Amino acid sequence: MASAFAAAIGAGSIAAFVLLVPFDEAFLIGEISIKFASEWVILGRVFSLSENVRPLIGFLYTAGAFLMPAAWIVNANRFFPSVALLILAIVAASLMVDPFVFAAVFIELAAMGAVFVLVTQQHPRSTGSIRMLILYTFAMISILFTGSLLEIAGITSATPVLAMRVTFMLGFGFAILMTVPPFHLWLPKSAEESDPYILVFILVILQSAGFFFLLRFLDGYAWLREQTLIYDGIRIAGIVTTILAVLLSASQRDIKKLMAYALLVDLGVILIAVGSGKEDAFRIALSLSVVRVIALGVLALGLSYLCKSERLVSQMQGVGYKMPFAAAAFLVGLLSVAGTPLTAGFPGRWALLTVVLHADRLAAGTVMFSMVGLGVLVIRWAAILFGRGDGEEPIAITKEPRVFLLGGIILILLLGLFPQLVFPWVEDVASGLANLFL
Amino acid sequence: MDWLNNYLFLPVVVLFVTGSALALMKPQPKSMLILAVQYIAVSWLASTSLPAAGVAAKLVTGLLVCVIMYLAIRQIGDNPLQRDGQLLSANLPFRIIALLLVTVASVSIARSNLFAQFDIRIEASVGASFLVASSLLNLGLGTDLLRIGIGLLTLVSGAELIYGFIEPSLALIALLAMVHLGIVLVLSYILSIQTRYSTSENRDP
Repeated sequence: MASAFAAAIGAGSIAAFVLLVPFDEAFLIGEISIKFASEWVILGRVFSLSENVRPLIGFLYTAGAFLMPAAWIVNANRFFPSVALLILAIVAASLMVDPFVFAAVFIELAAMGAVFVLVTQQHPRSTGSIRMLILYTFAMISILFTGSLLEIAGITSATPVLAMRVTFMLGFGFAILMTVPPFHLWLPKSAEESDPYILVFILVILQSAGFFFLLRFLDGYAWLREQTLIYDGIRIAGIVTTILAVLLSASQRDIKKLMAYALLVDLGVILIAVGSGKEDAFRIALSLSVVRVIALGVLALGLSYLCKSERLVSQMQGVGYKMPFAAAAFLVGLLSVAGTPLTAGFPGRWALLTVVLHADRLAAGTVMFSMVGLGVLVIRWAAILFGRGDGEEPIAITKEPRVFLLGGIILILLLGLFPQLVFPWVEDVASGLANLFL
Repeated sequence: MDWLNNYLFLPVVVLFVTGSALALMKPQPKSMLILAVQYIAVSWLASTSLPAAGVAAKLVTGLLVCVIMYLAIRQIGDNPLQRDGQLLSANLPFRIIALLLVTVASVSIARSNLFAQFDIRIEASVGASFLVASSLLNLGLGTDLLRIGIGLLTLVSGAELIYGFIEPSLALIALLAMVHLGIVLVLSYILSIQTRYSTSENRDP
């Protein structure tokens, strides 16, 4: 317990430091003058805490600080707090390193760290984790070579053959980092094998790193931003991911796999937003990446409790009566991922619909399909969880988990009512990516 | 050390031999000796693009990886349930044909203009292409954790052999050395967990 809280306080302190402390200018604490440099040179490479990456690093550490304390109540591996901090540091390094194509190597190292918390003595199976490691290695190689081609070969819109080759390699690398089908195959397997809460922590951090990396690529290279093919590709990937994930989640009998596909639905909607190529939609994608931390965290926390021993439909009948708080957290989290009104996920999806409705009917239809599809799934699973059981008594739950589960539900509802709470961060990020947000 | 560059065909031949052996043999403690020889050949080829310190770092990392892997395999070897004494993999004829196909493909790729933007020596591109191709064979045909590990290490070795010509910086050598060590540590960790806590889901046929 103490280590999870200490790690959360540590991550929160680093987030506050990164977001609030001025760099490269002296300031006074009492009578002592302090000045922090924003650049460090390690082995000849510059690691820069510049204005454009500070909000991103601050977000990752804040997400870590938010998710880490509850690891204690899901009985995570005792290495989890230290490994989680290490993963956050590696991902932060991926955002700071210059040239930023080296970020691919750091993300690969973070994925390696993830294996240490996904495979534990309680969850010794490793097929999903190994698949993840293989795929991330391919992504690293693909992005490293793409970055070099961009630097050396001088690719512009006037070199179409090379540009096409780079676009293909880049798409391959980012599709893996963002877990776009068919590179999602490790996810359902890991959901089956690992603790859902730990998996969500890993996925939120790694996907956010991949997403920020993508935004920086788009911001950094003018020819890439000008290619409609790139945005079309992202949009189609988003549409396919969303539709496929909704259909697959509807056909699941295993509640843990349902969570894996719900994660993919959420990702698909973010990709649709980025793929629209509009500044407003980029802002929506950023705000969605914030609220997903809370929604998925609450969903996974509830699920972690619900499937301690059972996880198939036939075994979940009436489990909601035994564990009402956990069942409620799971369902409210899923409602938020579905984008149901009054939950944290609704404002972002509604705003996205208004942005893409006239320009792209297919994308708008896909977003609506995901909302309706997941909404129906919530009703189905509520009927299963609160269906007629065997008249079991509720399982006694201690005060602390109840506080976490209820707190999460309240936070989702609060963010549904006051979505503007995430706007300052979105604007901070937007000001750092000056080419993407003109 | 320039005289080494006059015999660059030697490490390429060694890579073909070691890569083929690793693809055809069942992963076992002896495989680590072959992997070590492969790392030496890769370092030799890398000496055409990297400074001496970088080559030394690469070689030391490779040998360290082999020692860690050897210790990890010993854990399984100590488990009598998982010891079958076979030297070669099952489906050997199929593996030989697949190996011949990927060898032809890798030589064709190395001789094409795929790497034309980068000033890469032909020996290095042939060796690297074969390493990548044989690693794909290992990753594609193996479900065994060790075979996958060998495949991943070979894949990264092949890719960094080419990448050394593009970006011969110390930082990248250090980062990729960390990737090698990370892969082998992850595999050793999983093997130790699975050996201690019963599962043996990833066994080679």
